[in-house]
Amino acid sequence: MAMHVIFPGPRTTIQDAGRLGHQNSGFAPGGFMDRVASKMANVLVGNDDSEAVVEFCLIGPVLHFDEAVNIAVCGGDFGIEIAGKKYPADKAVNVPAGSTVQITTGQVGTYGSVAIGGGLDIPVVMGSRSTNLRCGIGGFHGRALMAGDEIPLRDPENGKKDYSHRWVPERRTVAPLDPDLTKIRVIPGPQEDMFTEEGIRTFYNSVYQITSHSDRMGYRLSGPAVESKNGYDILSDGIVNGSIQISGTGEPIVMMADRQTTGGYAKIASVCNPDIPVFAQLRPGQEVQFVRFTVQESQQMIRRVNELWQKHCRMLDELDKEKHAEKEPEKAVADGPYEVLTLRAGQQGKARAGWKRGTKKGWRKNR
Amino acid sequence: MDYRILPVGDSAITIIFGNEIDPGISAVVRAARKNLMKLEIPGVTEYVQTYATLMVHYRPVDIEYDELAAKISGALSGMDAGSGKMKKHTILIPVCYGGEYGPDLPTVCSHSGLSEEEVIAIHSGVDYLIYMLGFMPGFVYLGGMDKRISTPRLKNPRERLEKGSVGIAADQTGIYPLASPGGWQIIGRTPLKLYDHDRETPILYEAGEYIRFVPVSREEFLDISAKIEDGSYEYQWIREED
Repeated sequence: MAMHVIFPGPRTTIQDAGRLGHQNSGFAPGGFMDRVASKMANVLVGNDDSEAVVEFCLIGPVLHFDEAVNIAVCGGDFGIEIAGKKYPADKAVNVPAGSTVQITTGQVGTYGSVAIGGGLDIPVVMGSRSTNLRCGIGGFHGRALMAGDEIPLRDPENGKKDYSHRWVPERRTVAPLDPDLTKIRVIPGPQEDMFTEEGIRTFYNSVYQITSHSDRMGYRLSGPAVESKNGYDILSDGIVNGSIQISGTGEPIVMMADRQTTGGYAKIASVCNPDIPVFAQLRPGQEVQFVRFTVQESQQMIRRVNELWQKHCRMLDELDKEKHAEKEPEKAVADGPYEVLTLRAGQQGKARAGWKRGTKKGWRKNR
Repeated sequence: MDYRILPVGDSAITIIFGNEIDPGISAVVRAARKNLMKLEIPGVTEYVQTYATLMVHYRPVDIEYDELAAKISGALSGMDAGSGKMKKHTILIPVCYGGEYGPDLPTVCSHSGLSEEEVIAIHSGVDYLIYMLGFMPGFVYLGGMDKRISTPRLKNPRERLEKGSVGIAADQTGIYPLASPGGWQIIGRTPLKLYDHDRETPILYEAGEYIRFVPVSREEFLDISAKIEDGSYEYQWIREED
């Protein structure tokens, strides 16, 4: 009753919602790079949405299960292949006992999250199952997965329950129609006043490219230098997920899940939380433009999306009950219009997360 | 008390009390942290102290920026800056200086023109205030090093500094809780586990407390290492009586 790693992929780790509450001691929370994808994958297989997933970067793992289990992959343009048969992402797949599963890679997206029904039997360290590579703690022995690793399933009975009727709202991580430029909304500060007016204009009017020096700690961008009034060094202060530092070269570095908790470079702005998963999915070579956003606008959106996500999860729970009563699950779905989350990238500054009226099949194409 | 409140993205607030490294400002930041923590504001997840700012992390689904900023202002305006003044707590950190554990001690000596004994006496003769933790788990930003032993960083950083390495970089001194690349001049090593995730408190100390380095011999170093391994070592603190 275990998951066997046949091929791990280059940077595959166990991640959950993060190790919270230790930043005053210097621990970054870590956790999901793409929070939305990971929550969606978990919900598809009936897990709590913050359950630990197998997170891979660009190249998916090959996994073998000696027990039947549900899995789902969400994130970039990934898929699942079992014994030569292809299955889509964003859908629970029943893996028969003794199967080898290949996670396939597509054209867009960097991080993929594989949720395992019932979760993996990974010890909780300081409140989290997330792997912290720097400290060598959490996850599977504090390291990236390797071929030959064998991770027991935590709840195999629930892990094989049929959740194939579950679905998740359509979500556009990276807009295939705008592959080259994604607009990312940012909240200015806290050190915007260290930059010249010209520097601030440069920051918002230029296009920046994601470089290959990008990982779970931060994404280094290349593009026009942002002019400061008097250097880029500050007295070290706190850093958040999405903090945009301007380093000595004048180019931005966006701090990500495994960032340092404090730092001494001036921060011109922070990526708003709803756009962090979108940003995290960009590949080296893709381009972004930063757009001003306010804390109030962002928080309004976070609360709205959260309410609708809760509502969606409650509806799935209802569907599960119908399933148990052996009713037609579709009937409940078709009873009335409901709202569907669509997260979209690259829409030229328009709101990228919103809810659209759905029709009976669950979502409508929103291209 | 003077301060400014600014949003940092949509899930954190920074409270800025000053813009310099100063024990007085640090005490105010600490006092603010203690006082705000007591309020147990719903939605706030943690308070992170730095040199002159306090970062408040929160969940925007539970509390909005405007409401939280108002609550913080209200609490700080009524706060007595002296209320966070705490009794001095000092942790004693045994260090084996020089030799294989401190390969750069000779560099510090030649740069300062002092003997090894003098450098060790100066380095271990001060209680260092912990201004903040950051950079890596348990990494301390200390104040108060005697400038006579200031030494520039290595021109070529080492690929690996062992955990427990005690070093000097310009006017700063510090300890590496984990193995890491680094450019500090390494003058010694502590056998203590500054960070241990299996311990009830993974990190031994916090901002506002003090560190005192205590020179030990190589034999004592090995003896303490063994005691830490079998769990019999008792961490040494000097605590001012309440």
